[in-house]
Amino acid sequence: MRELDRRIIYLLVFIALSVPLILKVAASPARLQFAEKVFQSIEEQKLGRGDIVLVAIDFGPNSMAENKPQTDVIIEHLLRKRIKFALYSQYLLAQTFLESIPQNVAERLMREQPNERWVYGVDWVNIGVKLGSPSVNIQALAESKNIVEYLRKDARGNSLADLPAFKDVRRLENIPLFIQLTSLVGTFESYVQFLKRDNVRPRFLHGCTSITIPKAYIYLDSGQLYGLLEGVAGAAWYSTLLTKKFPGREPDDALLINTGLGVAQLVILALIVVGNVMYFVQRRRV
Amino acid sequence: MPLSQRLIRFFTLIGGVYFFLKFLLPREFDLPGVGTVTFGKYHEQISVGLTALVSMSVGLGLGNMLFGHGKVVVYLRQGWVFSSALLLGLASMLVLSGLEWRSTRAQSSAAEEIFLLRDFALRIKEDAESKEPLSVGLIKPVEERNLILVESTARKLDELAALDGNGAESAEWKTLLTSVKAANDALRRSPGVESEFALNQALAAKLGELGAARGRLQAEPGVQQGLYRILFNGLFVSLGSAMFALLGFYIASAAYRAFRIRSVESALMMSAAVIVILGQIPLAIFGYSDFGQRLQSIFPVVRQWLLTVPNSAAFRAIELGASIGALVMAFRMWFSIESSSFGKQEKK
Repeated sequence: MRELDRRIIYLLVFIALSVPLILKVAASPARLQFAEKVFQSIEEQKLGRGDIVLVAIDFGPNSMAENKPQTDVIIEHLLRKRIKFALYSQYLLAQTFLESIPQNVAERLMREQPNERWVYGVDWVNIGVKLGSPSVNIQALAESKNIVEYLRKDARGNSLADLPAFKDVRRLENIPLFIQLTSLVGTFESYVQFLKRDNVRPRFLHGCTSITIPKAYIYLDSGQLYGLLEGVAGAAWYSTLLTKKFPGREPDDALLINTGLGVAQLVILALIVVGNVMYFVQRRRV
Repeated sequence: MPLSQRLIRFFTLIGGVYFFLKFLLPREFDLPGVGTVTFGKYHEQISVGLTALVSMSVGLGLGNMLFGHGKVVVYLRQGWVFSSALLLGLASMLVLSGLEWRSTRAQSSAAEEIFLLRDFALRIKEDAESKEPLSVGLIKPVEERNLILVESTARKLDELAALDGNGAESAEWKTLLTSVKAANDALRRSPGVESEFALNQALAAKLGELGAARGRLQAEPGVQQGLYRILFNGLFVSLGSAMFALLGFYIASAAYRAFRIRSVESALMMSAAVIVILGQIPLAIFGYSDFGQRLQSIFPVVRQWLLTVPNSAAFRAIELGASIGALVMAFRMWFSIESSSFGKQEKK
C-alpha cells in the first residue's frame, strides 16, 4: 500500500481545524482539576489594604493561540471580582498583549454591564516589559523595600505612586497572588526560585502551553504551584466555570479553539493508527 | 591575553561572586569587628544597571544589522532585495515606534504637570507645619504661595477645558474639572492659614484625581498609531503566529510517518500519549450520549494520574540531571574556563 501523500495529511488537518471554527461548534471541554484550583484561588481571593495581584504575561505571537485565551479568562475573572492587578512581562514580544488584552476584556464587560465601569489605573495597571536578566529583576522586585519606588513608572509613563491601584503597595507581602502565563521554557523556574523573601511567597498560578505541561506538574506535586491552566483545554474549562458563575457573559474563543484542536488531535491519532496498520501489513507481506 | 578578554573575565568573576553570595548569605548578618552587614543593599540599583546594559545591546544589534545588511544592499550582493526589505521594515518600525512613544510621553507629561500642582499644594502645608527651621526669607508666606498655586491651577484648568480628545467630552471629565475649579475657588477666597490647610488638602485630592484622569485620556488616534497597529498587530503578530501554526501541520505529517510501534517501550509510550490526548480533548464531540459522557469522565482521571505519578517522577530525574549539567556549565563560564564564550584561547 502506498503511503498517504503529505498534502492529503495537511488537508485533513486543515479541515479538522477549520470546520469547528467556521461552524462555531463549541463542545463541552474535559474537566481539569488544576484549572478548577486556579478558578477557586481567584474566586476566594480577598485583597487587603495595599494589596495587588501580579500577572506576568510572558508569551508572544507564537503561542498566543494557547496563552491568549488563558489570559482572557483570568483577566475577565479578576476584573469581575474587582481584584486589582498589575501586568508585567520579561518578554519583549508580549508588549502588545499587555495593553490590548485587559482593554478589550474591560470593554467587553462594560458592554455586558453598561452600569459598571472598569478603569485603567484603578482596576489594573500595565507596568510594561522589564528587560535584563529575569532572575536579577525578579529578585530585586521581591526584596525591594518599596516596589513603587523600584518600578517607578507604568508602561504609559505615569508615575505608579499616582495611580490608585498602587496606593499603599509597598513590598512583596502586598502581592498575595502571582499568575504567570507563558510558553517560554525556564521563565517559570525563575519566579519559583526568586519571587520570595524569607517566609513570604505569593500563591503561584501558572498557565502554560501543552508542551510544557509535564514539566509544570512537578511543581504542582511539590506545592510550589497551586493551580495550572493546561494549554487551551485549561482555558476552555475555566471559561465553562466562568459561564456557570456569571450566566450572562459573552462566550469567548477558548471553547471554539479547544474544539477545533480536539478534532485535529483526533485526526492525528487516526493517522498514527492508519500508519501503524499499514506498517504491520507491509511487515507481514515481507 | 588581550586586555579586553582580561576585563571580561574579571567582571565575569566579580559578578558571579556577587550573585553567588547574594543568593547564599542572609540579608543581614553580624560580622565580628564590623557589625551588622547588609549584603545586597544596592541590589535594586544593580538590577537597574543591568537593565540599562541590556538596553545598550539593542543599539549593538541595530548597528550590526545596519552594517551587515547595508553592505549587501550597497554592493548589490546576492539577496540584496531581502536585505532592503529588512532594512525598510526596520526603519519604518523605528520611526513609527518613536512617534508612538512621543505621543504616549506627551500624555504622561501632561498628567505630570497636574501632579506637580498637587504636590505643591501639599508642600505648602508640610513647610508650614515643619518644625525644622526653614530658610527665612527664601520661602514666601503661606498666603502668597497659595495664591501662586491658585493662579497656576486656574491657568491649567483653562488649558484643560479647551482639550480635545477621546473622553474629553465625557460628563465625568467635565464634572471633575468643575470640582477642581470649586476647590480652587475656595482656596482663592481663604488663602491664609484660617482653614488649617484643609482647603490645600481638598485641592490636592481633586488635582490627584484630575491628573489620573488626564493620564487616561487618549489623544485622537493619529496616522502613526494606525500604521503602527497595521505593522505590529496586523503583520508581525499575525505572521509570528502563522509561522508557528505551520508546525502543527508538520507534526501531523511527522507523526503519521514516524510513530511506529516497534517494541514494547514504544507501545507503552504510544498508549500513554493516546490517553493523555484523549484526557484533555472535548470528548463531547462524540455526542452527549452515555458513551461520550463515560469517556469524558474516565480519560481525564487516568490522564491526571499519568501526569502526576510516572511523569513527575521521570521529569524530576530529568530536571535534576539537566540542572547539574547547567551548574557545571555555569561554573565553567564563571571561571572563564568555557573557551567558546569569550573569544579564542591562545595557542600554547
